[in-house]
Amino acid sequence: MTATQRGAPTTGVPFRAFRHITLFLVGLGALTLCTALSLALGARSVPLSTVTDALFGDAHGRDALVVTGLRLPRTVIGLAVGAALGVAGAVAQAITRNPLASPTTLGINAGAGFAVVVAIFALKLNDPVEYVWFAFAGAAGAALFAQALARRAGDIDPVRLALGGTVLQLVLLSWTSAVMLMNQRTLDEARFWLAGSLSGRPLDVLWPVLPTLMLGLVIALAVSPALNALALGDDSAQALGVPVTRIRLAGGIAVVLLAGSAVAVAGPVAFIGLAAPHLVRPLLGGDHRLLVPGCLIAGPLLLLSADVLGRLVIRPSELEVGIVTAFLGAPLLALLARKVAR
Amino acid sequence: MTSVVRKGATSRARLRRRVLAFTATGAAALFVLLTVSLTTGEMSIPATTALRALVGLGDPGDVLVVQQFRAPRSVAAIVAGAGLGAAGCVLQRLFRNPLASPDVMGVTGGASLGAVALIAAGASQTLIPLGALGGGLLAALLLGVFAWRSGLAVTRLVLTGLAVQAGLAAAVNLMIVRFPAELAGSALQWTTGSVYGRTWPEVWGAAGAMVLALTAALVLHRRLAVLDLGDDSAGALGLNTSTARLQLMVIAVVLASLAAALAGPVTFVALAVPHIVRFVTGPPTAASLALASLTGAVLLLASDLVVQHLLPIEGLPVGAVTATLGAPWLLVLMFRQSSPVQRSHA
Amino acid sequence: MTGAPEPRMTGEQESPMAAANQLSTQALDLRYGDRLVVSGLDLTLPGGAVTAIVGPNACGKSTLLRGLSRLLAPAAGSVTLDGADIHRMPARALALRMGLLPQQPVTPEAITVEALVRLGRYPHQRLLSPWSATDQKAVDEALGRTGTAVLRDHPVDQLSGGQRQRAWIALALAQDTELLLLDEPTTFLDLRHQLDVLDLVAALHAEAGRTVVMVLHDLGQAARYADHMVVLKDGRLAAAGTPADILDADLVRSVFDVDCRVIPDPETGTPLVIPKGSAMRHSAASA
Repeated sequence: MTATQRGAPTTGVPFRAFRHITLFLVGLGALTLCTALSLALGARSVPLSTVTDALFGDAHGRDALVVTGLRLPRTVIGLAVGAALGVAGAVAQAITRNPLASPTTLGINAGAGFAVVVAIFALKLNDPVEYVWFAFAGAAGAALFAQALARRAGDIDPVRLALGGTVLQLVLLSWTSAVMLMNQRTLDEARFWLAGSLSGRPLDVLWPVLPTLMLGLVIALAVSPALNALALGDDSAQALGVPVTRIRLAGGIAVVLLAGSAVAVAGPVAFIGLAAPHLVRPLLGGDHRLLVPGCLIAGPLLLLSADVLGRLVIRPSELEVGIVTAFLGAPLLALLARKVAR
Repeated sequence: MTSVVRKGATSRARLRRRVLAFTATGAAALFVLLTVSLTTGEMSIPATTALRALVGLGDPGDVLVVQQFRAPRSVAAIVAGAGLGAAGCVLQRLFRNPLASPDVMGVTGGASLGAVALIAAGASQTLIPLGALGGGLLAALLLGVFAWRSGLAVTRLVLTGLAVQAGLAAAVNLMIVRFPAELAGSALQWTTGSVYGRTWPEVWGAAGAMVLALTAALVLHRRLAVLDLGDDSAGALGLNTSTARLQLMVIAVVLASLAAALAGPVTFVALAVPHIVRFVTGPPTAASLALASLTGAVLLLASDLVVQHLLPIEGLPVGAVTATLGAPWLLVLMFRQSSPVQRSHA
Repeated sequence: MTGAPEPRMTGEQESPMAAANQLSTQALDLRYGDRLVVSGLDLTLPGGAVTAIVGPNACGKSTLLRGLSRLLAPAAGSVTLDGADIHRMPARALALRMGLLPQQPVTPEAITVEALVRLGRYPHQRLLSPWSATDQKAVDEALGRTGTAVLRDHPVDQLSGGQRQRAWIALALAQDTELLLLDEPTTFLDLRHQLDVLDLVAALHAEAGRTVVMVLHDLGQAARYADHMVVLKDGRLAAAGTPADILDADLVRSVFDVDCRVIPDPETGTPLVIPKGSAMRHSAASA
């Protein structure tokens, strides 16, 4: 455990390691519980025993069909999307050195939204499965454009990235509205996708982006030790021998892959990427070697609980998960605001 | 003594000339744009006839078209643009943040929600601007309640503003998703911003209030300048910083809400105009606040003309045009400012 | 003047001269959130003199200055200026008597030196009053005295550190107050500019009769430029008096935890602190 050598003397090191393991186990437990709830609850509640039977193929009938046919894909997608968003948020905050950065502020969601709306309008698409690659391309295009704007002397300037991303996002949003206003059918199709939702998507939506998502995760985990050095500022990081430019570039690619995959599957879901790191930081501290895996758990935990909540509040109908996260995220941000600044 | 006089001093005379030239250009542009907006349309009217018709002279048909259809729309664009420009100017200085704008404070979200809620309730067209005004003010009140904690600190204001905006935007989004398709369309149209279909009572009411708010902003400009020095210096100069910040915020919110009532939440005018003005006239003064109003009016009127006459598509929101026109400018100007020389002093 | 119950803390005679612009604190507690930074401070800063507040890092020097200037309200006790509680005075009335240069002032973007200094006239102006000849005279004088008149049209954010500091002092001067508080006016400046700033302060005191209270880091500079010295440790008063009276090896050891000799400054005769060399440094030097 060379990692925690700088910790408090005597009891510090083993105690902290113990605390971290406990917290990770508690997090995993909560995630399991959430997964179970996500399988069981909804317009039609299914007892947990039936859920397990259905999963192992021992049960048949309508309840079992609901679980395996609808809720299982939805839950699996929720886990993947939540993990991708959580990790992307942690990495985005580290590379921009800005605690308010998230995939949204880099223009990723807006880029995906615009691409999908154009695709619906021009190619007359009407099925979320068909949107996947357009969304991914739009997200990647916007994020790469934002990063290109922020490039200076071969490096990405964090201030420019934040400014450029925000401006890009506003422009894309206004274009999205313009396209939707030109065509009633586009408006009708797109507004549901734009709210961000996990429902009505078969697992086929997830398979195409699984490789990019996995690649993004691997990169994010690989650069996480170096992200700690970035927090010290570029000069100090450089002095420590960290290749700042390459790390920031790799982090940027990871964010694009992760958030692009997420938005391709579920549409734009705000706040998970922002909230997950802020939830994990007080528990595990600012060390990215813990923070990034922590967000890997916290992201899906937040997303699944929001989704389950969305199914319960206006039964038998349901709220799109993107709307639920925005409603929950806003007070969280206000709380955050009260904590900072004396 | 190292009294090395560095380069970069802008002589006052040169600066004053630049301000005057900019003002004259702006005023001329506004006049030309106004004339164009009155003359062009389905029925084109010669400029002199249009200007005569504006004051009620000439052919009754021309008078009707100019006075009842074209003029209210143009004046609405001018008034709303002026308010947005000044509001952006005040907010960016108050928040010490180049990205501050009514969007960041939740005013836009509040105005959208107010209007969309009235659209949902099936209220008449004339009530919707009032809904927007009320929504914007309510959002600002919400912001004040959440952010006030024995004073208004800047960081807390910015973050709380983002939170309020996000929550209200989510509510608008919810309504748009839940609405039947036709209503969703008119709601979306409204939330992107448009000066289409404004009537004289609305325009005059908003214009009167706007003049009052702009005057208040100019009168309190000295306080704004002292606040720029930071809370410690401002306090030592005898300014009650929290009260002054509150007064100025209220003014900015009123300006932005009035604009939103007339034109909907048009993005980018409030964001881009202060940067344009600063680029031309240098350090912010009371004059640059007035110039921001002028520039905002020109920008919004020009954008509205583009929407009406230059684009082949019907019913495009003016907000999409201001965003498209404003973004490249804004990026160039902001990147100029965040050059390493400047930031090393920050 | 109601019969003030507080006891006279020192045996000093209160002559009419000394009473003018005299800041004092009575059982003053200052807090940041839950942290008590200054506690139970009874202090009198003589009017018409230059006072230096010194002490180790985090001893509460800057906090005390914020308390003295009304930027931080006391948790207990009071701060008085010539007997009047400053926290009960209208902000503007106090600003007419007391100016402050914060430790790290915020320079507004692209502002010119003259525009910055003009803001110092704020407390003298009413809401709609125009810029007057008196205002302009005060600004010109402040620019002249600080040697920034030639820089008046330059943007402040393009000046060197020393020039910028002088521009900010000019702002405080334009405020035209009898009393001037400076929070570490020499930090981040090289030696030449430190001396420039301190000489300027000394001249303000000698020529314009201003009362100056400044937080300083350097004991030697404090001893050289101050008539009166306040030494803080852990938010409490460790010593107060003229530098010659109070600055000795025992005080430096007890407050800064440094072994030293105090010798007369060969230039001015004021106390000069010479730290004793540690064994490590000796061996390094002789190697």
